[in-house]
Amino acid sequence: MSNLLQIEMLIGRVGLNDRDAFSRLYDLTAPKLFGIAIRVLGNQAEAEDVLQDTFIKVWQGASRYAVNGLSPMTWLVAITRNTAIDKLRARRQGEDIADHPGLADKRPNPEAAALQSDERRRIDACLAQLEPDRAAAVRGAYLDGYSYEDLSKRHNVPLNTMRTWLRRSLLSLRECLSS
Amino acid sequence: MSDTSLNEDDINLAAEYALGLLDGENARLVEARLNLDEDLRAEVVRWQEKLVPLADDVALVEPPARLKGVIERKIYGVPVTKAGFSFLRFLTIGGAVAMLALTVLWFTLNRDTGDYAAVLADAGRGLKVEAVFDQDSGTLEVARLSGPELPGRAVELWLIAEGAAPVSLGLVPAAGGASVTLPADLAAKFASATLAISDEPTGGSPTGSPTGAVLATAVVQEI
Repeated sequence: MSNLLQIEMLIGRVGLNDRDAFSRLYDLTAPKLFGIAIRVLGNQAEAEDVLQDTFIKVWQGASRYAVNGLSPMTWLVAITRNTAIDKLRARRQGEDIADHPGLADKRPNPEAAALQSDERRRIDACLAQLEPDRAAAVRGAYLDGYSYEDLSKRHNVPLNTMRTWLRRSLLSLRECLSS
Repeated sequence: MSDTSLNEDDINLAAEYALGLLDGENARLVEARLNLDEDLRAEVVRWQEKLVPLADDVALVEPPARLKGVIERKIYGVPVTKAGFSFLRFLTIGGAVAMLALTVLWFTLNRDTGDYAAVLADAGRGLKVEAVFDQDSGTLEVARLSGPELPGRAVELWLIAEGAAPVSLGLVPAAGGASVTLPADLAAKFASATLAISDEPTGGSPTGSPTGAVLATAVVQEI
């Protein structure tokens, strides 16, 4: 996608303190990153804080971007997810997990399959090879920021069982993704 | 696994870190290792890249229009004044670690009148730089009093006159001191300027403006 190349070039210019590039980068990527923050946190107010922190980190970290090995959108998504999950963990003490709106199992819309990238098809196919609740655990961790504690409560298993389930599932997933 | 030298524990750790499953302390431990362990870093990158397509499902949401301005004000400081952008305000509001000048000087040279100096210190790095300007001779002495030169990095000294963008005075020596004669226009501004040091790649900023973190600032004092 020429858009990804454009984003990479903008990040490079942001690393040289180019404010116009920062403005353009924000315009191109903020809606996706804001959406991710809202998905993890479940509300707009906290997601706004996360979006601010994310772009401040982008401004400060862009000069070092070239050495981290991540592709441009993955870098931006990773900053957003990490910041959102930190906020979620800080807030989550005492909340009743069962009430969290993200609990419903979400599956990719099969009708949208034709529009998916190859990478998307690949991760979906590999997740489909896991048992459904293990696949849901991986998606839940990534998209909803579930912790081991959240997952073990949701699936009614002890914490260490959930750790073992995920360890096995992640190693199988890795095998599938490498082939 | 044939495509990595990592054992299964580390592969699992990398996946957990990428997913966000590690608690704060364990995540910080992994981050510390990532700086040194290329294989672990490559594995984390691999997981991040493989998982990111899951985010394609997430609905785009347009953020409130005011948010962009809020972010830019936080990063750049207060808006442009009539006199032009104030880099000084940018330095004080931005995220730089800064320690203002000490009043004790470490050089023991004979002082004429018309000498100006500043000491710039970044406590976090144990870095201390002194700059002494002799107005009569137009000579600037810059010395690194403490703090090692980091591999691949350099410390650059900047002169910031009020209302002006930073002008480079050159690189701080890796050790000891160095002298340079300032051009007349910079010499004229030195007495009323603020100095700053920034972290740059080896050879200094490629752009003529600071590109890395501002490590310290100091107002020039007459001595």
